[in-house]
Amino acid sequence: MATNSPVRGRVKSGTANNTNLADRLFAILTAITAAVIIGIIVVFAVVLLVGSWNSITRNGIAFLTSIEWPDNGFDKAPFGALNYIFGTLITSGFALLIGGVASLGAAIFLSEYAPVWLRAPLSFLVELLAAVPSVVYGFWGVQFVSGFMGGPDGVEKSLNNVFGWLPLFADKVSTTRNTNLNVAFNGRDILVAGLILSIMIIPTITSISRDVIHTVPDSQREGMLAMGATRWQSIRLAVLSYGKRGIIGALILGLGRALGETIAVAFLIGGASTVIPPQGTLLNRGETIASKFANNYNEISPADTNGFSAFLELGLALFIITLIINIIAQILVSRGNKPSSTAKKNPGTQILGRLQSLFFPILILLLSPFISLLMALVIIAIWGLLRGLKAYQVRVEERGGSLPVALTYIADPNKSYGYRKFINRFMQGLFIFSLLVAIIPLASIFILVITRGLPVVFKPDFLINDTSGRPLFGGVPTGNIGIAQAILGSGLLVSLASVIGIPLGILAGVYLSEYGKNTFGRLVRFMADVLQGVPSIIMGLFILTVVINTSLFVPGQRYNGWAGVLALAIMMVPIITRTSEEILRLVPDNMREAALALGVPKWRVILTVVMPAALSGIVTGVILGVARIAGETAPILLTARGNDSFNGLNDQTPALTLIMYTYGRRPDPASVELSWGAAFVLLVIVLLLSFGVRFLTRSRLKASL
Amino acid sequence: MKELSESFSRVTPFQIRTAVSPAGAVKAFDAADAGVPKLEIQNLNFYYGKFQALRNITVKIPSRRITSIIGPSGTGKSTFLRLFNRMSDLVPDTRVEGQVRLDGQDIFDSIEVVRLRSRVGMVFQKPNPFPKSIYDNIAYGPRMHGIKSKKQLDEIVETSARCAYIWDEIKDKLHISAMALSGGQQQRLCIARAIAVQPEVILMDEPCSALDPISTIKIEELMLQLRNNYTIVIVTHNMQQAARASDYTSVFMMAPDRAGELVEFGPTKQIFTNPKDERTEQYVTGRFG
Amino acid sequence: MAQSSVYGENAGRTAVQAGKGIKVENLNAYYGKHLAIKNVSIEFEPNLITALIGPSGCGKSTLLRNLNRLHEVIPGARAEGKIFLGEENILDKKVDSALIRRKIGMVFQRPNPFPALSIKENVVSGLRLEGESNPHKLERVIEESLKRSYLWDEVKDKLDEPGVSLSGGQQQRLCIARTIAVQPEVILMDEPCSALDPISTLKIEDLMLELKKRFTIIIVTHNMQQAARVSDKTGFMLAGAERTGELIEYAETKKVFTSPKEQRTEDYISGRFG
Repeated sequence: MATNSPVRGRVKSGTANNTNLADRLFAILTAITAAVIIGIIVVFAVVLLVGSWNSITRNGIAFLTSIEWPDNGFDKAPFGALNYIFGTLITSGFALLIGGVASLGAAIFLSEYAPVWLRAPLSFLVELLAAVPSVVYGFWGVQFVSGFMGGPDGVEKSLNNVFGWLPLFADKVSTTRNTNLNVAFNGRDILVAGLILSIMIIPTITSISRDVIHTVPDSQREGMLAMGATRWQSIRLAVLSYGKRGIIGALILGLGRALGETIAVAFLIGGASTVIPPQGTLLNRGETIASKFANNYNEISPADTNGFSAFLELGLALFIITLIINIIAQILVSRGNKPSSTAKKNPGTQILGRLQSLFFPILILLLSPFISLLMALVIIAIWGLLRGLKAYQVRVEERGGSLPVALTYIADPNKSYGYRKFINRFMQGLFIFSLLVAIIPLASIFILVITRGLPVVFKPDFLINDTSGRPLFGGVPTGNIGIAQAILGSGLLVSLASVIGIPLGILAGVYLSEYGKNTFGRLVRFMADVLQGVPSIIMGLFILTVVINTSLFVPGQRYNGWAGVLALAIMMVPIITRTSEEILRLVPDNMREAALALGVPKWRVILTVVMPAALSGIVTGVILGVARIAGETAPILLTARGNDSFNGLNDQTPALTLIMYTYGRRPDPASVELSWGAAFVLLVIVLLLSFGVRFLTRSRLKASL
Repeated sequence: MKELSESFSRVTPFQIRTAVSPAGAVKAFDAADAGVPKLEIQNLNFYYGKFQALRNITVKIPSRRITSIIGPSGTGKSTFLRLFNRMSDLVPDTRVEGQVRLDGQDIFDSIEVVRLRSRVGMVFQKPNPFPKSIYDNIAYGPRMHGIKSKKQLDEIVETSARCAYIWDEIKDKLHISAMALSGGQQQRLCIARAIAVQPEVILMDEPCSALDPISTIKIEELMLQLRNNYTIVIVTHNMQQAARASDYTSVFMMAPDRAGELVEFGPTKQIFTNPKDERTEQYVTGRFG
Repeated sequence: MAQSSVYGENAGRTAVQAGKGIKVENLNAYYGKHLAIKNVSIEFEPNLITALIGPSGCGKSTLLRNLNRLHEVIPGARAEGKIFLGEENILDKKVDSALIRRKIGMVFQRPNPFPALSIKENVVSGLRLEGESNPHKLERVIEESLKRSYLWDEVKDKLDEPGVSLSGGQQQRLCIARTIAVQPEVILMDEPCSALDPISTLKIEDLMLELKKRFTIIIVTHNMQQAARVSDKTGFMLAGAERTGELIEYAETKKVFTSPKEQRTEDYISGRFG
């Protein structure tokens, strides 16, 4: 109430009774939780800045211009991050190029072309793509993508054979350190990391640009259509030109996601390296800022003051880059006043029964490789045909003749209705194709995780023993290794983080939705978005620094479960805040007005009308947040660290994602097998959380809103 | 007058005014104030940011009468109505100048906003029942105002529902969701919900625009009944409705800078048969709008 | 297929160009499972203004949007029945909707000029869609269309400014100019004045009376006086209990307003509800 009263300078008079006081107290309570978000960002920035001060003064500008990163900081050599900065830019740029095009196509298809009954299942697949944890992407990349990309018969070798004359695909690199470094063709390099990143940013860009496209008023589309435009013309001229800013914003957000992605890149980029333009090649190994942390997490130690500070400066650099990227993107997308995509009452989801809605995604998933292969062939064929037709036309005209009317329509791009119609069809095909491009990797991940992971899960003691071969809850060691300690560890970390993160997140969400139409609210919303955009590895680094400097939690044991809990809780807050806010905003204002008009104080209206109406939505949002952090690796890699057995939260704490990260990178069959098993369990947990609950609550949410 | 209304609203209003019935069992003290100004609006200006939505409005709205507000869309009719229970507070960056007095008390200064809203009820354009049961919808207001006794609540629900002519339709299904009712029933339920907190004034913002003809007629009849006990202010875009169902009519028009102005106020009959202002005449004869 | 879109050829039809009539037979239109209009049969005569009136939700806009197949653009919407433009059944799946919309223009409730385009580009946007790029032809069309929509004098000095910089009434006339620039046979108007002030409303009404010499005009309006003032024939629609709209009465405007056949029409005209 206090925040929204008319600007009139009127002081509430003495007649104010206690309801008004309660109103204010409630507003203040939620405002404080909202302020926590700002507090976190401030502390975050200060810790990174103070910690990296030593490095900033010691290394100076060399940090940005030198490519040498010494093994430790005990001698005089300065730390130079140019390699990592370059690696980050080139992988992200590559990802944006490939992933961006595919995402836009997918978004346009989803929101403009797809038949209604298909929209919900297809969107579901894109969400599924977002739900797969990055450690699973990384492991799948190493096991599968590297397999066909690398090796003597791999795609990379062929690329090199055909395009080897291009510096991008050269197999010999001259570097400053040692000239003529031969490319290994092992499928772990910048190209493969870039490809995986492309896939990983597809859901981000697709869903945001779909939201942007939804905000284009129907009157624009219809105005264009009513002029006789084809579907594609109306999209190009009305939709895309109207939503240009937002779509660019979506692309930039995707870029931000790619810049901060750690674990999958650490798996695939090959580690350490020497890529410097212009001699660099995509086929060489490399390193990004984020993957540097994950690949060298053992080196991040306070014993080496200079080295530690340099790592912090590296973190600061990444934070600043992602911050700038996010600010630009937020301004462009201006999420503040757009209706969320979930707000759209999609008739598709209503028409589909629950079983059907699972049936279609699975069918599409299974068929996607075949359909897209077919489409690729068709597109190539059409393209060839057109070229041929053009050439033929020229020849006919040279002889003074002319083409049959029907053929002219196809060949002549000007003023021909047939051509417009053809382009329309062609673009539609292209969009379907790009959607399939997004879906194929998903199919591959699922098939592999099930075929390779499921048998492992049924191996003796796999879910009972820990990784050192002892039963988790006591008993005779059998020697069969399992992942029980990791399941327990993940469960504990995630549930304790939820205890902190959920209430904070929901209250801050209430503040933003119910009181946040002011400068402070906008600031909090912005900060929540910034916090959400902070690369998770940097979050881990931040907590690690705090723990080291303050001996918080367990003195003398800098890697412990509590630090992991804190990192995850902080990651969770902005996710839950923003989803709760969006869900609460879906509750129609007329409900609030109806209750307020009965003379009920605002805080009671929120608790008795608004929250109950949004309850199932909030629950869904919360569970999504839980699912997100359950799949996180980077923030706990630097804090909880992982363990082969469970010794309580005061010690290094195991987690499923950490098991996958440590064992998934080893080449021996036993480790690989263990990782497939862990991947299966992890995927089942994350997907159950993400979608199982949503399917249960969906109908209730619809009914109550 | 002021003391009277204050004192009786401090006691739970139901203890005194429960006996309102459709037949119009009008209390002695009620009849006395019929026709005297209930709401006095003086030199009212209202701004959304820099945009002036209402300019210099002065009017007195009589007690226990139906006053309709008509005018083309965009002339600030709803904005004006929403000032009376300060729903306008909900829109950020707005500014009010001038005075609105309820029984002589300035609603911006002297009445706490939550109290004001329990004295000035509102019915909205689109029926907006809560996603709760029919019973809980009507009982929501009284519950929030501290009535806990089941018996008392049952009584209030029944009286209010009878008052809003909806009791017969809902008495057998009080515990199903209000969302299951038809649009017209939902709107009458909303009226019952508003009546349940025993307001003195009921504001109606185009209450029939989303309803079918039969529901419209029912609601108009209901309004004429409620007039005995409540001061009703209704915004409508349907001029015939204003002509049929109101005692007084005020006409809003848009100035060149898009600010809304009150061009004429008077007995409904006079506005429709013998308007003083030329714009009113043009409007009521349908030359535009 | 051989739809020639060059303005010049159409310009041959100078003085009085005949609009075409539209005949609707047994039209049912659905939104998902909801039947929005049921069994509507109506014949819109050439070069007349036909008004469709009725309370909100009666399906008058749905009917209008079926006439240029804009109805099918809404996800889940479909229609059954026949609509003839001349001899051609435009609801036939084989008929391309873009070609139909080229022949049947539409003006919307809220003015919707394209924000990225200038005033003159807005006017010729339809021709641009068809690949027309001859500058002389475009210039001519711009001037002629703006003059015909009574907007020329107000905008001739600022043709390069964005279309959205105009006032609401001007924007609506710009949308009309845009529609007549492609020389359609029928113009559909969906409450074209509901977002406008009285003076703009009058201008657009005058414009309609002028335009009917060249085009068939069908207008949906909630303002009964407007229907009475400008239209030659009036159709009254009403939705029943299932929220399904039906055509209740269709006759000369004068007849509908003075001696309607149906009691419900009379109730509506006299403002008993709505």
